[in-house]
Amino acid sequence: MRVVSRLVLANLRQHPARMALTSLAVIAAACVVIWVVSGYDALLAQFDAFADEYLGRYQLAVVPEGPEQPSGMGQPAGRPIPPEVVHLLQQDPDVAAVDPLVQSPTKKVTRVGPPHEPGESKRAVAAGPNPKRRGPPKDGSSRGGRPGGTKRPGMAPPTSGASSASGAARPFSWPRPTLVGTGAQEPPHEMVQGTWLKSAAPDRPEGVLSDGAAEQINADVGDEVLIETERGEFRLTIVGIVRQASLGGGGPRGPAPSRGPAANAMYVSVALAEKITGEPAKINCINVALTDGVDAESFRRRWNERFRREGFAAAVLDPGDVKEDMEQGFSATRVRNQSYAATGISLLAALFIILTTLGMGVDERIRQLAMLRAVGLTRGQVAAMIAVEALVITRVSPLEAMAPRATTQATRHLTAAALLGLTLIAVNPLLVFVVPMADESRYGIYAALGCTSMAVGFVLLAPLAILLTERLFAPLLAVVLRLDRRLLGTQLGGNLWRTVGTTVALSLGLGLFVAMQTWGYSMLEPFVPGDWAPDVLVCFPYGGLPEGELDDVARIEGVAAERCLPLAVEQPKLAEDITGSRERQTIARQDNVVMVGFDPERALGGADPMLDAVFVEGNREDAIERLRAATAGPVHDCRRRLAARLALDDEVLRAAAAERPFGGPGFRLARGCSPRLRPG
Amino acid sequence: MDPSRDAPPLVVENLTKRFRRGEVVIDALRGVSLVVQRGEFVAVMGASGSGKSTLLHVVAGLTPPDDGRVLVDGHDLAAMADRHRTAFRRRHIGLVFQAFNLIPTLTAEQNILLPILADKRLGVDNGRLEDLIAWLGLAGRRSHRPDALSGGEQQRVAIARALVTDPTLILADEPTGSLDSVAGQELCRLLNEQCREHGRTIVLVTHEPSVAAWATRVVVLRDGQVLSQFATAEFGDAHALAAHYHDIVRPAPVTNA
Repeated sequence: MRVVSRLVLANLRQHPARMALTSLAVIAAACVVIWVVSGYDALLAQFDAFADEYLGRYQLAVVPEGPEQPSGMGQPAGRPIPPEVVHLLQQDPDVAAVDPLVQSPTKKVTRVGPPHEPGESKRAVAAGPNPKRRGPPKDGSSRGGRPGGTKRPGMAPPTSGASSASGAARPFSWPRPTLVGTGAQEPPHEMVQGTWLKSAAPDRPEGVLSDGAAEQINADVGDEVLIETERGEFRLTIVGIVRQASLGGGGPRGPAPSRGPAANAMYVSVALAEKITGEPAKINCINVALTDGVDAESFRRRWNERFRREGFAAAVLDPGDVKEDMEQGFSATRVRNQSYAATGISLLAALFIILTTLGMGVDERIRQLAMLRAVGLTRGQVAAMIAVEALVITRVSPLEAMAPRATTQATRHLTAAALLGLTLIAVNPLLVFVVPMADESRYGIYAALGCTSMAVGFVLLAPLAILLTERLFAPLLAVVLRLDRRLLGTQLGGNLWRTVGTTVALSLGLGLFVAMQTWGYSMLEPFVPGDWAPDVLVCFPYGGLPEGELDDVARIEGVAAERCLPLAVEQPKLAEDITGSRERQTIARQDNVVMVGFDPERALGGADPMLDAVFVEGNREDAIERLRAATAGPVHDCRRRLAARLALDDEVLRAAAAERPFGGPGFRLARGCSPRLRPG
Repeated sequence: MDPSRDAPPLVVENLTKRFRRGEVVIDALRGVSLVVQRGEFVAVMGASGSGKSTLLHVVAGLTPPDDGRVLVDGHDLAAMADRHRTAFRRRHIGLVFQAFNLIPTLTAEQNILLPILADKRLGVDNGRLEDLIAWLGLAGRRSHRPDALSGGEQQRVAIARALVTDPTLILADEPTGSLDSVAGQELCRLLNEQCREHGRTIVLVTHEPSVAAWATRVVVLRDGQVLSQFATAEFGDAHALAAHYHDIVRPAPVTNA
């Protein structure tokens, strides 16, 4: 190897720029892979850590079995767990502690200041900043860029992800803390401040916050908070803060499992929870701690089997289920797919860079390599030299060194290669359109086999295409560039494999560019607002705009008061999989729907409606009438097209609405009310 | 028993080599036989296309023959596997080319040592290396790369590379073809000296009578066959040798029946 290494090093020293650029290109490709894949790995690592800590001092959680709950919001289940389940678990000798949870959503949780602070009205305190603190408003909202909640004209509308009053970047939407009624004698998670709940009596209004919730509403131990629910408002005092696992660094950010204990919680006694919600306690999660030495997995299997056998709609979750639940989330799937795609593309690009560079090096030194053979280097030593060179530059492949130079006599081989290439290219459409198989299998086979054969096919087709192109266009190009035609030939057909490498690399880049542009346009086009949309949409996250303040917004300078329409936006998870999202998750196939509530008359009616939608089926009058009756609503034509199963008068949202915590009627697609974006 | 002990350094028996270009078959060598004795300096002459270089390449084992065999030091090259043939060539045959064929990225000394570096069984003999460099007048140029050497110096480096393993046989393919007459004659003197003083066996391909005059014997090829062989001692100088050579290779006059 000493002669091989000496020759390789000498050659690399001779071409430092080529060496540097090629290495840089390959390093860049490798960096893309590492960057994307490490992002996915980091996400999984976070899921691991989160899943391990999510249940706190408990090993397992019992949750209602059935349709999944709204994802990632720490929302409670709508279907309660029968109290008998608690009793049965308590009788199990393997169980050390059973703590049922009564979880309810809140409309809003706001810090209103230290208890018994005189001279502050509730509203003013609720909206005003704490003079002792720096940070976001105490209710966790930015209130449309109105720090401190001071009403003043000319306020700026909020933007997604805009900085809060403290200047810290915040995500668009945080989940509101979930009210968790618990009778646990010990905190479920480590206490970081204050004490755990001391009294179960409803006349002692005290609560404990998860650290994420405390950060969100900027509350400390001793602070008084205002909880707003469907039933009304309630004040209580924070007596402690627990450290609860969360993704994204401690706050209530990032994804959360769709089932189980709330990740962003306000713990109160069960009696207090009943008082606040005005409803009898319904258990929707049970934390279970096992005695020492009990195998959690066998316990989980045993109880899941028992639940099924005895007809309880409940299931036992362990940290593994929590992790799996989160990995199935859309973002995790997307990141994983991105990592696979980036890896494939980068490897392909790197391979072409390597082959092209090696081809240049070998072509230039073909005489030198022959001389080395003559003076005593074996074939293996020469091949090793090329391989080591490839490894040094890029860490791959001496194939190009063995590739034959194209000659006129080789045209037959190139034709055969082209025919083989065409055959391989034909494999992909055959797999997609002809061969009968399940969609899931088709997708996998298309990605693994179809795309690969197509890529190899195009590479095999390239040499003949280059020769034909050269034959057809070289004379013209030679005239245009004022070059000798034969000279041009020596640079294209004469260095065929180099030309092929360059061509494929360029084609790859061009293909990626076209694919990204096409994909981006086709995916974004349905979501780009058209002429029908209002001039400005103002978002009021974290509780929305209080009633009565709409007039203030309408009076802002530049806003046409009569053209100011309040919208209520919710994004519930669908109980039924009407878009096929469980079969294959994509941006277009989702398990949730954005519901927009508005005054039908103001939005759609009149000669110049606020939402000037085009009805591709049905008519405006029918839509307004049925919206007013709250029995049906129009659906976006894009959504209807994507969910092929939707038809007019389908009760698309009935099942979903029944699972929603606040209940409500099912929605029906109004006959002929399918607004479509106006072209242009 | 070592076949090299008493065997002539080079025996070529009935060598045939054909090249195919599509449907056309070209007979480059047609039954060439030749024996070169130890310490002999043989010049192979002939017109372009007569088969001189092909003969040299087959003898060196770079090109396989279609028929016949080549024995170097009694070893049949065709009977060896490529790996062994390469190692044998490295140790027993020194090659010198018209175009020098030095590695441009290596220094003169590194180029000289190339065959030794490629062989685990060969070690660098510093004394021999110093003697070679001094004998060839390359002492001040050993760390220079080929592009900093003159044509004559490059060819001397090539000769040193061919001699560094102390081979049985030196094969030189028109070594003076890229040199001026002075450098060419100097090179011939060096080769002749190797022959006389060190008993080196040399086969040199050339079409220049002034170069062939340095040899002890001339073999003339025409159309892939040995046309004639003669000792250079029969001629007083290069001009006489040239005249004889031209008489041999001149086509026979066409006579009317």
